[in-house]
This record gives sequence, C-alpha cells and structure tokens, in this order.
Amino acid sequence: MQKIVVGLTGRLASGKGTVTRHLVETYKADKTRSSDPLRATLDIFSIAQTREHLDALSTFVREAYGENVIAQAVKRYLAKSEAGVVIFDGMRRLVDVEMIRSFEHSLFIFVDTDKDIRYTRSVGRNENIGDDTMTYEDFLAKDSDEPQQQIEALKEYADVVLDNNGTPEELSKQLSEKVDAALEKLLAHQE
Amino acid sequence: MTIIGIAGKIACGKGIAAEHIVSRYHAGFIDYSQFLYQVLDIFAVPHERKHINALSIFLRATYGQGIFNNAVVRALGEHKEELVVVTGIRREQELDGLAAIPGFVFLYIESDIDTRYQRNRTAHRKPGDAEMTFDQFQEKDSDDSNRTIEGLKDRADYVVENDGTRDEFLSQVDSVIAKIVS
Repeated sequence: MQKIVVGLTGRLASGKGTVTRHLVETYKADKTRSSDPLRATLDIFSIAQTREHLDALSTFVREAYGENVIAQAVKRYLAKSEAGVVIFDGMRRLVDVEMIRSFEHSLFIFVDTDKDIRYTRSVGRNENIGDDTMTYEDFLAKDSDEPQQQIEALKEYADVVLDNNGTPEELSKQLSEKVDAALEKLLAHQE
Repeated sequence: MTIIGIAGKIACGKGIAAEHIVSRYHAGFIDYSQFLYQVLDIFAVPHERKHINALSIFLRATYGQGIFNNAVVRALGEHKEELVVVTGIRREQELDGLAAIPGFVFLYIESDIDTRYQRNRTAHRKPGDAEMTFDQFQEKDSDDSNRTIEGLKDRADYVVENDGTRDEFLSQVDSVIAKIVS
C-alpha cells in the first residue's frame, strides 16, 4: 500500500494537536515536524530545546546548506516512514506544500481558528514554558511574526479547512465528515 | 568503565591504534568528529571539510565550547563496554572535560612530520591527500583545527611513538593497555 502524506498547518494554538491525535488513533499515523531534525541535532549535544536554540540552528543550516535543507530532511522522513498515513505537522511555506504534493497521495489540512479563541486555549494549555502568563498583546505579537503570517497564506492550497471555533464535538464531526472521508477516498483509490 | 582518550597530529596513527584496541580488547569507540557527521547526515549534507568546519564553528560559538564534551558524555552513557576509546581530541577544553570523568586515561601518539606526511599521502583517506605537497601538509598540520593538538602532549598519561613499523607501534599500544587494565 502506498502511504498517504498528510500536511497539517494552522496558526498558534489553532488545534493541530487534536487533529494529529485523531489521525494517530484512527489510522496509527506516524508524524514528524519540521523542528524534528533540529531537535535531533540539539539532542546529540544535550542542548536544551528552547525556541531560541532551535531558531539559531534553523537559520544556520538554511544559510550554510541551503534554504530547502530542513524541508528535504522532513521529506526523507516522510518517504522512509512505514506507516500508511504519515503527518507533516507545522507546514509553513509554499515549498512545504509543493513537497507534500510530490508524493503520490497527499492531503493538506488547514485548521482555522479565530485569534481570541486561540489566545484563550494557548494560555490554558501552556505548551511552551511561559505560555500561561502570556498577555493578549504578547500573543498577538507572537502571532503576527513572519512565519505565522506565512501560514495564513497557505489556506488557499488546503484540501480540507477545519473550522475550530466551536465545541470539541463540532471539530470531531468535521474530522469524521471531512478528514476521514477524504482519507477513505484516497485509501479506496489505492485498492 | 575505563576511557582511553587518544590524541595526536594528522596521520600519527590514532585510527590504527583505536581500531586495534577496539578489535583486540572489544572496546567501544567514540570519535569527536562523529557528532558532526551525525548532524550532516540528518540534513543529508556531504561530509566535506568546509561543511564540517562551518558546523563546528557555529555550534561552539552558539551553544558553548563544552557541547562536544556533552556529546561524548551522552555517547559514553550508551556504551556497555568495560573499555571505551575516545579519539580525535584536539583542544585543552575537550581534554579538561574528559579528564573530569572517572576512569579516564590519556594516550598521546607522537610521530614526526616526515613520516606523517608520507603516511598521509599513501593512506588516501580524503580526496587530494595523495597529491598534497609537503608544504600543503605542513600548512594543514598547523591550521586552526590542528595546531592545538601538540599542546596536549604534556598532559598525557602515556606517550607512544609511531615512527617505526606498524607492529612496533601496536606492541607499544598493547603495553600501555596492559598497564591501564592491570
């Protein structure tokens, strides 16, 4: 069976983790993030995985070895994975979209959530240290940096846009009606 | 665990000594440069000197000089052997970090530059080595990444010379190991 590469994106605290969990539970999906090769590098030297350390390494490898070098590392992971469904979580650039489209079967999911709701969720979950004490202004500043702006521009390329402004049940319904339906179709197409 | 640190200038015989200890004494093996290769492999970047050097400079400047020692300590934790060889030590700071680990012994390999030059030409380890002139070799031998090696000799627990035959050299290495493990 050919694998299906699922590209996933959305702005800060939009709910990507929930989508990932659904795919892992339902399809035993494997997953990778563009930060994974950077995290693996920091691990070799026992360097703490702070945002600052990851950003410095990301800038270095792209300048020294080519702008595409991280996307290529992700691509190798996606190609090598033996799972039937493999997720690339946190796509940011148009080259990322092109990359997943280079696989025969791909599904691009964009999670769309209003910023007020995302702020409330971000404070509540404290995914990165300090998120829980972040003011709304801090959140907006972080949310409007360049990588986050680029994410918004990817929406028009998505196969599935999930509206995550409602209840968990409403998201779950969309996951089943939109995501599962699209994946079933791709899976059926393969048989 | 006994950790044998090995240092010496280009083509002094570090690799042969390490290989010998690994095969004869079933020792584990760690090379300082392996961590850079691991990173290059993550990004599928070829193992060219310019890439290795750029990475090494970036990592030290950004995350601190001690990170290679962190990597060695981490790698040592994954070894189960009684004896582990750590090769490719170049700087005082690296040696400081290793010397702080209980069970560390430091072996320095000495070999004169003419012998090393000839050996480097015939070993063909890197592209261009065979065509290298003596002047080019001397230049490489004293560049930023190599000139600090010689200063480590004073801190060696054992110094072994490698200007004779391979057998003579390895039997000296064996005597050192006999003293270490006894």
